[in-house]
Parts: sequence; C-alpha cells; structure tokens
Amino acid sequence: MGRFLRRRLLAVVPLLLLVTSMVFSLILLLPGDPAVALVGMEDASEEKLAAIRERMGLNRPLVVQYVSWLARLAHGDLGVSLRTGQPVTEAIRERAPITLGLALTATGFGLLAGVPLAIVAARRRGGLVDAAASGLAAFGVAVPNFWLGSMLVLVLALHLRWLPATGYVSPFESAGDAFRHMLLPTLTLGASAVAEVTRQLRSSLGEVLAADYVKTARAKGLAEGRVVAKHALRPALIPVITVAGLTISRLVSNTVVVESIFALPGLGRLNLESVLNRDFPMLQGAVLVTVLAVIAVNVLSDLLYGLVDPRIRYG
Amino acid sequence: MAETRLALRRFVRRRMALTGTVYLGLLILAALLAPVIAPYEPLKQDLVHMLAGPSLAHPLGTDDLGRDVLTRLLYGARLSLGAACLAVAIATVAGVPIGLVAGYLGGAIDDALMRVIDALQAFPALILAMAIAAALGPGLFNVMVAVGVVYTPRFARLVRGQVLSLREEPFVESARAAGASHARVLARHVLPNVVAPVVVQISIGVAFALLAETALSFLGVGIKPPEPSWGTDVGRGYRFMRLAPWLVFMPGTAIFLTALAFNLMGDGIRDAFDPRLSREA
Repeated sequence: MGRFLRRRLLAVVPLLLLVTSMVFSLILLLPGDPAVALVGMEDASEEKLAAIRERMGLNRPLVVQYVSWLARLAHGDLGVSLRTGQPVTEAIRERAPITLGLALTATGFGLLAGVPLAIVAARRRGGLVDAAASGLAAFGVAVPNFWLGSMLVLVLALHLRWLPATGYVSPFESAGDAFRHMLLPTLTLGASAVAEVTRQLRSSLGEVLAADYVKTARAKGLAEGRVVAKHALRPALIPVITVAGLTISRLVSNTVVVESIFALPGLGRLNLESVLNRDFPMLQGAVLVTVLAVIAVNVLSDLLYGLVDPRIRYG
Repeated sequence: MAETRLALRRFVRRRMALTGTVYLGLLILAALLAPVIAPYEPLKQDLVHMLAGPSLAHPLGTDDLGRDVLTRLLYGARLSLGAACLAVAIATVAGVPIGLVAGYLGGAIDDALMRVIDALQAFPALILAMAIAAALGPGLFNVMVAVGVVYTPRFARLVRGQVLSLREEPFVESARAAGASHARVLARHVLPNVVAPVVVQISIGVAFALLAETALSFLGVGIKPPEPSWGTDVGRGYRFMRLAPWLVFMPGTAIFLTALAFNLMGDGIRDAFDPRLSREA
C-alpha cells in the first residue's frame, strides 16, 4: 500500500503544476492590457497603470511572474479583491465551509437514496422499482438543476410554505434552522448524484449478482440480504468509486448554480460574483481552491479504490 | 454499408431513441420555421398583457414585458441549439485530432498531451467555462468557445482509447508495412473506425453543452437579454416565479426534454453500432 500511495501522490505533482499554470494564465486570455482589467476601470491614467504594472510585476517575463505568483501562493497570499479590498484567502476561508457542507450533504443524500434504490432495482430487474430507477437516472442526467431548484422553491417554499425559499443560517447559530435552509439546496444538488449512483451501482450490482460465487453463497442457504451485503456490494461499489471523482466534480460545478438560486454565500457564488465583477485576483483564488479540492477528492477516491480492490494496488 | 444499414435497423427498433430523434427533428424544424410559425415577434412588447397566463391568444402565456412565451421559446431554440452545436463542433475539431495524435504516436507526445487533458478535466466544467468566458469577455461566441474547450478532453480521451487498440490491429500494421505514411494511415485506416463512438459522443455532448449554455445564461454569464434564449428566459422568469410560474416552467421543460432527447439518441446510436455496449446488456 505504501508504494501505491507514493506513486499516486507523485503523479499529482505535474498535475498541480499544470493546473496552477492554467489558473495563472487566465489573465493572459484577457483582451487588451491586463493592468486595465486588473484595476477594473477603463479610464485609469497611464501613470496609475504603470504603477500597477510595476507593483504586480506585469512588466516582468511570464515565467518570473508565474514563479513569484506560486511563491506567494505557497505563503497563502492570493492577493486582494479589486472590488472590496478584502484579502482573497480571507474571503475563501469564510465561504468554503458553506460549500463544503452543501457538497457533503448532497453526496450523503446521493448515497443514502441511491444505494438502496440501486439494490432493489438490481434484485428485481424489470420490476417497477427498476423502471423507476432507470427513469430517475435519465431524469437526473438531463434535468437542468437551475430549473429543478426553481420548481422545488415554487412548490415546497412558495405554495406549501414548508421550507424557506432562500438564505443561509449557520449550524452554530441554530441547528434546526440551518437544516431547514439546507434542505432544498441539498435536494437540488443531490438529485444528479442520486441518479449517477443509482445508474452505476444498479448495472454493476446486476453483473455481480449473476456471478458464480454469489450463486454459491445463495446455494449455501445464505439469506438474500446477507448475500447482497457481504458478498455483492463491495465488488459492485468499485465502478461507483471510479466515477466518484467525476460525480464530485459535477457536483462542485453545480454549486455555482445552486448557491445562486438559494442565495448561499459559498465558494460557488464567490466564483460567479468574481466573474460578473471581473475581479481577477478573487476569480483566480476561488477557481484555484475549487480545483484543488476536486483534485484532493479524486486522489482520495483513487486511494479508496486501491483499498477496496487489491488488484489496483499491486497492478 | 451493410453494417450501417444493420445499425440503422437496430436504431429504429429502439423506441426511446426513436422518440428522442423524432422530437429533435420536429424541434429543429420548428426552430428553422420560427419566423413563419411563431404567432408574434420575439421582442415585441405588449405592456397591457404583462404576465398573462396561458390563453388562446398566448398558448404559453406572456412574460413581464408582455412578450409571447411560445414565440420566445421557438426563437430561443435557434440560439440555444445553435450555440450548443457550435460548442460541440469546437470540442470535436479540437479533441479528435489530439486523441488521434496522442493514441497513434504514443510515447512522450502522448504523455504530454494527456497531462494537459488531465489538467483540463480536473476543473469543474461550469467553473472553467465561466472563468474562460470571463477572461475572453462577454458574448455568445466566447461562451461557446469556453464550453467547447471544457468538453474537448472527452473527445480526446475517447479517440485516444480507440486508437490505442486500433494501432495494434493487423490492417493498420499492414498499411504501415506497405509504406503508407503516418498521415495516410491515420486518415484512411484509423479515422473511419472512430467515427461511430465520436458520433455518439457528439449527441451526448450537445446535451451537455445545452445544459452548460443555459446554466451560464441563467447565471448572467452567457447570452444577454433581450435575445431570446432558453437559459436567459428561465433566469428572467425566476424573478417573477410567484406571479407567473410558467415563465420558468416552459423554457425549463424545453431544456430538459431536449437534453433528454439528445441523451436518448446518443444511447440509441451507441447500442445500434455496438450492441455489446448497451447499458441494458
């Protein structure tokens, strides 16, 4: 396991270098003078622009700029917002926990709803639950989540008045209120996760349940629940874990939309706000932290994959 | 040819895929004929009939400026579908050659190209598209370039995987042995064999691009009002949801059904060309 761990972690280094250089290069895509975009105003005087170029090192060679950006990054310095003057790291520290909480609850919902649904569907192929699971999977992949979120708000918040439509309450202020406020965002964000987990697990569980060793376990007289839990679920989970990285990446992507609909002040919304405000230091910081989080989850899911399936560790 | 005919016959037998394809055919026809069949002008305001519910005069109601929702839906299909197709065209033109070269040449070139593809794939799609669109500046074309860049890795990976196995096939080796150049082998022997999976990916890719474009427009990063686009209209309708829920419901349903239809068509094409790959198999 040690060698596998080392190999996997080493592979991340070039990825990190490439990803950081891509985030850094976002500024290069800016049309015209980056100093103008960075200062956020078109009518800045030439002296002011020259001062910015000097201060931000924009007149130095690109490689030098990148290395010094990396060096500041290593010290946790991502610059300050062009709009508010707030340090980027501070803004990210405030907002990341909200997105993390939302992503975790949505993933939890995806697993809690998806795994039992997939088990029932796989055990009764062609049955009613199976048809419902297939329908749900097709729905989850094609439904625009801004539309799903709007419909949930319309029915559950505006018409039935069961839940608040928007807003955020910290769980440290009031756990009950926080739960009620997170329910609709979690349902909206988790819908595609439920679909993905159900689709993957249903198909892999179907294959495993037809395998000889599962038939043997049944022939020995083991109860069906035990056959599924002890013998079938673990190998069937492997394909689910392999796509976990992709599912999480899609989930993180969708936090931008969900946080906007439900007015949650998270990292997704920070990404959007900095795009709309053309606040580049903030945008770079928010994108970077988001992509680093996704890479971390991917590495974790790879390690988990190795833990569940020894063939990967020694392959 | 015989294989294509057989695949076509298998495709027609899949009811869901056929339904999706017929829906898309009708939608494209309606979008093309929008100036003829739409009951009103897409930008024409009628402040007397603001936020009116569905009626005979306005079958899908009107929006906050009294514009006919059905008309905007028909015109919006042109922009939303066109934009999604453009993004996938960009992704195909960029991704397929990368996959071909990486898979066929292998070695250091493959390693280098694939690391870049890995890095691009590490970014959550919508966030990368937003960041690129922000950097390139507003405008429909820039947004589509952004969505195209985000989807390029899917094509590159798919084609590379196919080419890796094709490279070892006897017909490719014999073409090389007969003295054919790399370019000729790629164009004449390898490329025709990756067409089917690429077509499947295009179909599923349009669904992705449509969802991405409408999400970006909903968020205010994509197509700008007053142009009729499904995503922009949902975003605008969201503000009036309590008074006029149809403003969100109608264009949202159109996006959902269209993305579903592209997915079903893609699944159908895949099953038709390679029944072994069927999800149900």
